[in-house]
Amino acid sequence: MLDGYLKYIYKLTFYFLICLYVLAACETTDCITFNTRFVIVDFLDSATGDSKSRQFDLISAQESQVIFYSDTSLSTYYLPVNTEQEQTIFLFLNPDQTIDTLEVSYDKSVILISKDCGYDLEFKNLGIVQTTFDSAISLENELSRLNEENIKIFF
Amino acid sequence: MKKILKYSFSALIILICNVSGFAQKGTVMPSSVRIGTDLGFLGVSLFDPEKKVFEINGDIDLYKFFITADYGISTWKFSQERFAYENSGSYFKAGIDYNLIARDPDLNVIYFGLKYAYSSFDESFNYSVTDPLYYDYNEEIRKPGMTAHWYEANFGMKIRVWKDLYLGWAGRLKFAKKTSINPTSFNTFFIPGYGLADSDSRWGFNYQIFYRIPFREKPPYKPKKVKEKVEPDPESQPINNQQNEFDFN
Repeated sequence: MLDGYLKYIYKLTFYFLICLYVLAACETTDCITFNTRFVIVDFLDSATGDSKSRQFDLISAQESQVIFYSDTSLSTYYLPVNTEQEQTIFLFLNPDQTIDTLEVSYDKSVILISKDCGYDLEFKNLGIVQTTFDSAISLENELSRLNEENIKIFF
Repeated sequence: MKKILKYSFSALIILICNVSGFAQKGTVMPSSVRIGTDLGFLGVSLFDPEKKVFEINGDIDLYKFFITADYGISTWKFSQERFAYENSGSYFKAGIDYNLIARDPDLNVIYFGLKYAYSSFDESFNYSVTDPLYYDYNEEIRKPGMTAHWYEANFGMKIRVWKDLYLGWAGRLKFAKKTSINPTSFNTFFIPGYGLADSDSRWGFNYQIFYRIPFREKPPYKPKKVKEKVEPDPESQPINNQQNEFDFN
């Protein structure tokens, strides 16, 4: 049935479309993401604005059974959010046995990457709901491994 | 389903109106309908236990154009140790193709065209989390009644292989995808008829088989008639030579 130019075009388009198909199939999914569940909290000197270590007897969160930090003095703390909820209250026990709190909220997205890579949780729109610290501001509102800090606390 | 019909009907009306502008030049009534299915999807449904796709394709000739429509149903389920995904839905596509070889005696088609596509689907995702920092939990996210629409630029061929049987393939660029508002925290993963939902445009490839059902004899498409040379006769009236440009008889 196929003759002359038609046969030629038929073959040409077949190879062209096969190439397109292969190109489309080459869009491989990358399993690696930069999403994280950790909020990076920096403590700064309210007078100078420089990083300043702050001592805590322990740091944990409501509903958590784990102590994240114990008897530590650091200027940067990595605090994990509750991945089921869209808000977490972090508890900071000071050396004088008073408790400071930092309540953060965020939007959670569940992203299915592929059957083999599995799924990933993404947290965006991080905000401070309330805190007992004197002054706190949120900077990067997406939780990512590429971030340097999410929240600054001045004391 | 009602929405699919509403959208596709209005899209079809627009397309028919566009074609009718060209159609007024000659006798361009449809001569046949071609019904087909996608062989690639049949293969997937047979050999992939997780995916079931069936698509029916149709076209009607109109002048050098074809009005085309596709309807498909799809389900995709898979699970791993800690999660399970489920998607089921249907889609409808309607559009117009322009035939580049309208004069071909075997009624072969090499075409390019544009389609509007609409999909409605249900999606669900269950997962379980083991969290040593807080507590373990399971979450089940259901997204019923999701919709999406997009456009497709097509290029392909339908070649007669035996009597009224045709084989065809098509390359498609799916673009300008819009998905309905997601009421849950689960990002849409798959759209029936479109593919993975992570990008706003996607390439597709189809391999199809068609059967042509003629209504009437399709006269071969003739080129524009050359005006006959008439010896000027000063006494006669000017000859009205306004015949149809495309004489199908």
